[in-house]
Amino acid sequence: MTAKHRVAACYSDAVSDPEPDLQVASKKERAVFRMALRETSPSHVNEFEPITKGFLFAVAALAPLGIVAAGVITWRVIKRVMRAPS
Amino acid sequence: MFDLLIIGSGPSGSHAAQQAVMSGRKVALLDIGYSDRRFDEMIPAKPFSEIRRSDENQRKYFLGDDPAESLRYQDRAGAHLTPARQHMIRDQDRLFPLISDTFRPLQSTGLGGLGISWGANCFALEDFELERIGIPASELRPYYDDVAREVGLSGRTNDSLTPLIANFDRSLIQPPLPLDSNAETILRRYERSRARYEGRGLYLGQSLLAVLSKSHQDRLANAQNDMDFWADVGKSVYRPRFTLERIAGASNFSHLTGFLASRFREDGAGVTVECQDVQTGAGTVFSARKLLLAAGAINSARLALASLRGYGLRLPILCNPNHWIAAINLSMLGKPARDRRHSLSQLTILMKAERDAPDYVLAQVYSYRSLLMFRLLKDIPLPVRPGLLFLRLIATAFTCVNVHFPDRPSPDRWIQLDEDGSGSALKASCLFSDSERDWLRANEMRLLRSLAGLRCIPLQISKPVHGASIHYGGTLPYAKDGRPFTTSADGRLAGTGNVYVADGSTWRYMPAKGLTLTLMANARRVTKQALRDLAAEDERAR
Repeated sequence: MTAKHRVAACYSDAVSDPEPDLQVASKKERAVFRMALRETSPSHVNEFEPITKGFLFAVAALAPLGIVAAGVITWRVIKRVMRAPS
Repeated sequence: MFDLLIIGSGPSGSHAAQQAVMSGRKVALLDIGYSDRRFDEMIPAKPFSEIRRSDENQRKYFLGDDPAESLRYQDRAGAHLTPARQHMIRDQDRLFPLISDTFRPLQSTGLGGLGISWGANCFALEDFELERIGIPASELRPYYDDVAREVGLSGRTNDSLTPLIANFDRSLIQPPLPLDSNAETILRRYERSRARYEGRGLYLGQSLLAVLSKSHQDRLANAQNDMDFWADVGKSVYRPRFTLERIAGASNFSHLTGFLASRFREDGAGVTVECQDVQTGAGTVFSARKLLLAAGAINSARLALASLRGYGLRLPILCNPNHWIAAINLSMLGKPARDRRHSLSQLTILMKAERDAPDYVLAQVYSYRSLLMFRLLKDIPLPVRPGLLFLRLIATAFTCVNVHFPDRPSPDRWIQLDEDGSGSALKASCLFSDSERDWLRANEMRLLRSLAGLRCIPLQISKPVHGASIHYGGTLPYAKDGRPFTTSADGRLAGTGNVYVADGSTWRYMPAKGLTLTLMANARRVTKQALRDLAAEDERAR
């Protein structure tokens, strides 16, 4: 199954229109596409509501995400440096 | 034969047409004029939050006919266009071919031109800006009032920004729409230290918008449904097509829609315009005593180059460099926000920037919600699920700042029409020198520091492809010497007797402040000149 077919498969889970011609189909893009379908469905509305439990809660919850994001960015930089022609 | 033929139905063309129709002259407006009204009936007149909870059909308008397109568009100029607005660039590559690696403009084929996706931010420019553009300030001022009456403006008339953006009759401005919770905290923080910020050349206030806070003509006050990017429900946000609808019934007005003008030719009696039917490809001609070019800076230049045999000649092009800053407003982090709001720019920041002459950098502050979270997930350096959690945690504090920098002519930024056996193609190049890049970077850093002072912590800066600002000009600039492919101050294209330029092609400088209000006012000014010339000819004939 090609990336394009996998996207089509996840699309057809939600709607029955013709297969979309998604030229971009990295793993993340397919996941974002699935999320777009989910976000535009009333039954999943709560999954996209803002979390407003106060400043301290937000900071405490964002801290580990910030650490992961920093790791991802560092890893991308390392990959780019390794790939760059010497 | 028409008295006046206007090419283009965007902000300039529609206001030129209204001005001309009022004179009683026989007027025609020619455009491609694509429209897509399917979404008008599809999108309920309800608040965004209610639609999200209850409308089973929402995917049809939030993602459009081809949901994959919603992702594909993200890498292009026009990424912000929602499905209901995407018709404005339908067939643009076929009808307006442009070859460039460094410039990716939007060229509208829609009824209302680029005004279909206008952010409705209004700026009546200061005298020094108009003089630098080449427009006589004293001549233009009365037309700002006419435009304000037509489009309907709302905003504050007593904040830090007012003298910089509202240089016209302020009694025409409707009361401001309520700010959303996010913008309210930023403005409050600014007002606390206003004198200090103003001392540093930073002016912040509520955006002056072409959005109604009270009913006006057949248009309703903004319902604060936060659906303004998706639909023109109630017509509260001004679009040029509203003006065309108002004059559509006039007996002296003809709307020639579905035609692409390919060249004009002057003869003894006036001007003949060769056109192509965009559906059938069949050629046809229209004639008028006077021709007004209002097809936008790129396509008015294309038309002038093709008509006056300017093949191979490089014309300057102006376009505001445009960056987006994603920031978190710490004052709102973790706090709930009011549900009801409009979607457009809440606040406007003008920052003084010095080069060899005074200038401004513009930043428009938006609170992100109704464009949906999935559009942001791709750019977050996290897997999708944690990325979504991140967005939900910052949702009410998430602030998008759209930054525009001024632009001036440079030999490195040009367009050129080439002809080969198969037809003509426009080529473009837009490069910035090291010193220009340094200037942009230095001013961006100043802006970031000021935002941080307002507790808006920048997360990411996005620099879209050049052309994404959708502000274009300068291709047929004002000049006094009458050299080819320039325009005289009264709007006449050099080397012609009956052709006028009524759009941004004529601007010698592009301020960071949005150009649309001034385009509309200047189109009226140029139209008035063409009408005066017609009257003078009639007088001579008698």
